[in-house]
Amino acid sequence: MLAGALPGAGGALAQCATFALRALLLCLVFVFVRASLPRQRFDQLIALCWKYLFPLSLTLVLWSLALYSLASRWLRGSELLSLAASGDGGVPTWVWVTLGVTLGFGLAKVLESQANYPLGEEPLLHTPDAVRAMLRRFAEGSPAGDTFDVPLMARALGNAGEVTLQIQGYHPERWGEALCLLAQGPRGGPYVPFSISRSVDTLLPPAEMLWDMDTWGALALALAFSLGLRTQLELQNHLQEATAVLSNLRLRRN
Amino acid sequence: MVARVLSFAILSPAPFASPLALLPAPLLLAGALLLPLLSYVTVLIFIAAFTLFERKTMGLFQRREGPDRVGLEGFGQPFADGLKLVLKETLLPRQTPAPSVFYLAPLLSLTLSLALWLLLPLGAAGALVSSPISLLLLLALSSLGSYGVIYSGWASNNKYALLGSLRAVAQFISYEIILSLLFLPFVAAVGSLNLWAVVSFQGAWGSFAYLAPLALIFAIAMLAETNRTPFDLPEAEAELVSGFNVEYSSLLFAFFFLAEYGSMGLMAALFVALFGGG
Repeated sequence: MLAGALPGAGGALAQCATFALRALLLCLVFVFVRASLPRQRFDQLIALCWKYLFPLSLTLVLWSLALYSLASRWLRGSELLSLAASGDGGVPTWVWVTLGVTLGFGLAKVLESQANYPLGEEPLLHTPDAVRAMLRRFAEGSPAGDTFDVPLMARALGNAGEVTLQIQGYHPERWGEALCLLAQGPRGGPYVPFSISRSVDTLLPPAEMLWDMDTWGALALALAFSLGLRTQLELQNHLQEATAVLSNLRLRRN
Repeated sequence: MVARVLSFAILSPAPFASPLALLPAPLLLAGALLLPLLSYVTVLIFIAAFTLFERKTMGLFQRREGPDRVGLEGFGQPFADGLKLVLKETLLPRQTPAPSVFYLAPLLSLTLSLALWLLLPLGAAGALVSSPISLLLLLALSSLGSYGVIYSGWASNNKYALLGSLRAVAQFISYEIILSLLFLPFVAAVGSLNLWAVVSFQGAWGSFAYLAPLALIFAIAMLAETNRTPFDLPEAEAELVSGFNVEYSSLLFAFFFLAEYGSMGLMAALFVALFGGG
């Protein structure tokens, strides 16, 4: 600010100097980071890029573009915002793109849940008690000859937003293995403690939030959206194995 | 309104300003030759000072002195290091597939790393190389940098070097995508691909506060892109000895070293230009 006020070549030099000073301060941060953080593993590095930072930055970029366009449309009087790229007439393209991506994502989720739960099986989604009881029988033992609808249970597990299966002592990546142990029952294998709970967090923010959005609300929404996307990707990875194992099984305890 | 945007981004106050435009015509050629040289020398001095500063600070963190023998309190250390590297013998690995590639790869890295500095606007005076698409040029040239690493790893005829270069390239390409994504909101807000326009936009209207959440991602990508420590996998000493530059000695190693630190300084400057108020 101060440097910009100076006229002529002196001002330019001063600007140059403050610029270099700020860059040097940032290099200081580089050194501090080097001194304090341990080295990552290579797969962690690549996973961080593609599974965390890429979705996060994509959604943040889309939302910031939409935010800028919307703000420039609403606050037409301000000097800063009058510089928005498309200010004269019509809703800017970026708003459409962002809303399209968001709503498309939401629609894809709805269609996916429709595909997983055809109309006849809707109670499963809202009242998972029957499935819960079945899973409990499955784990804790039941009379010989009891049958289990394993694809149904697998769908319950696959619907990560509604029902969460916790198998204690097993990382989600090993749920397939744990469920195979469960299938053997108390006589055939070790007892595997587990619990089923309804998860409280829905993975995407509700669509109503889109309509009353201020600056910070939009930023929070963007964050929530990208976190939801990330969680979704992660859960899908974890549940894929369990689902793949279970959907091919028809079990009968003997 | 559109005319105003256009005039801001393209026509006024100086079209893609470069300090060269301020020089009188007779001095133009001399300036065009000398000012880039001056910028290279400045970058090299910065690198020398920064390595010393880094080693001293690491010493401070690890409860030791750091370099303190050469010159006054170790201030001669980077120059002594440079001299030592220059005086060493240049070794060529036996059975290298292409000696010329082995020699040219570090030169390519250093040339690209120094050339990028010419695109960087230092305040309102503008960049030495002014182009309406300097942001795109910056991206394109910095992604060419992975060729230096690929070629050196391949020409070294060494499995550690090859593994290191493969890792480095995977890392560079992945994180370049994030970096280029993060340029988009700036380009859209300013309406120009010229980095000087982005900087002077912030000088005129204030910095992009609403883009602050992007700064963290940019910082992480910056660390990964420049092989700095949490992400310095390409040269992980524990597994790969020294990564893609295992086989390099003397001046050729110094070229890689300078290229790496030069691109680190450039990334820091780019961060300041985008998020730090220009």
